Amino acid sequence: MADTTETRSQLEGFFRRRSDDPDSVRVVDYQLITGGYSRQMARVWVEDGGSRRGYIVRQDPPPGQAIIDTDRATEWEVLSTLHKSGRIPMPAPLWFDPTGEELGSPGIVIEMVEGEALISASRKTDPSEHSRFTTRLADVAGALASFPVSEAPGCLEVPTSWDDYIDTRIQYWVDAEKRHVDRDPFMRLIASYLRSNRPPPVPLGLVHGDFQIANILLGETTDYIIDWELTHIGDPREDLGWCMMASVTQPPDIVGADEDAFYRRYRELTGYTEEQANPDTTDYFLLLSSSTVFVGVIEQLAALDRGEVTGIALAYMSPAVSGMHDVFYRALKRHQAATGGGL
Amino acid sequence: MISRPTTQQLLDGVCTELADKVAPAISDPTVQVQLEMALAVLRTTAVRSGKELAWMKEEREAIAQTAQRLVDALPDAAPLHEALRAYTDGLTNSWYLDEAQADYARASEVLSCAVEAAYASGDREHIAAVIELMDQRHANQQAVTGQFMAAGRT
Repeated sequence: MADTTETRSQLEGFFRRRSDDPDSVRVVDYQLITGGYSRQMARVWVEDGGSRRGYIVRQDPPPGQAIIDTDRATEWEVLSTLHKSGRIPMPAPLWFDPTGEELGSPGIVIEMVEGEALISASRKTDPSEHSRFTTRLADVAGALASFPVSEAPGCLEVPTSWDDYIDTRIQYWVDAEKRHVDRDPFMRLIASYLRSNRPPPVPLGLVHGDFQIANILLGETTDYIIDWELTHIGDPREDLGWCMMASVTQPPDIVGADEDAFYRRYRELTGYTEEQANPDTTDYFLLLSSSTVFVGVIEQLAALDRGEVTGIALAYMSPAVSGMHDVFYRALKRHQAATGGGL
Repeated sequence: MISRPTTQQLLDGVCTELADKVAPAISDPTVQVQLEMALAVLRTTAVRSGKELAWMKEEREAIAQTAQRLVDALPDAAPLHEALRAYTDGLTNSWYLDEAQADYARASEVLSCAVEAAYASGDREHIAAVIELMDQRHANQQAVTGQFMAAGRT
């Protein structure tokens, strides 16, 4: 992160150029958002013409510091298209600096909505009360899965078929393992297991890519989804799988608080059958979907191993990999116990 | 060289002090998260320093034994045959970490090929045999990391 004074001054210039009353513009508060492993994010409060508004600024971090590298231009197109559709509740994307000329690095400025993150709200709540969030989470997941592919952003590639897509995602585990500096039999096991145990298909659809309770904001009348940088077209059940993955490393597990209610509502909204969406298919998609983040993480560890980068957050990815292996392995064992593992 | 206190004891001592005295004095949330991450790395490193050479040796010996049985049972599993040969030919049995890690990496490739051959065969016993090896690896990793909780995600 650049020096805060310099950042504030850059931001002030940015908002002045977009104001009807540039002289009145002041950045009155600036808070870094901790915990993001990919983007550099901050909450910014700006006074402009006598009123005060909050914004979220999402920027590329300095080279080598992101765990996963994603593209701001793609994210901007995704945000703009989805927000315009009005089908998915999300904060409005406002401005985009594609080159970083104004913000210091490529960045997107988004409206700050009133709402507490579901992870924070649920952690303040007694576990016996977590089930009151379950249906709300299913509503958001259902809205995502029901989004028509025909209206999806043009920058998102549409796979030729469900089978081809699943094959490609499975092969990604194998190819990424072979490219890695360390040998990882968990990755090759996951690929072999996924090949032998495919679930019933569903139509290809919108996948958020980082669907988890840290990325849901609870609003008064509607709940918002944020952080769209990993969005793609695939099997919408990937979002349930990744949500389950995240619920272990970043609890609580809101789906597990009332599993029946969650899947009932999700199936109602998506039209999926009980065979297509249930806790076992979610375990399958936990294994399939996790490659996106996991491979980004091991690639950073590889760069550390080669001496190209340093940093605490990068070194921390070593225990993170071990923690993710644990979640993968337990999901695989649960799936095997529940379904017979294809044998 | 100085062998006592052990590397593990030294790192554990540093972690205790960082957690009990340094962490409460930090008010910047970004630095708090960095310290939390640094502690997680140091704690896992401490456990690894005490056990990783022994665990790598135990795991690779078990892998070689099972892989040999699979090679005998699955004569068409060419990648497994090749990986086992590369492991056997390259084995150093060294206690120097770089060489021990290279032995372990070759054994891990044998394990990956054994997993693929077992699932491709669809044979329940072969799959159970490779899962037993994965159980061993998983248990060792868990002893290092324990329950992983992502730092700073609130």
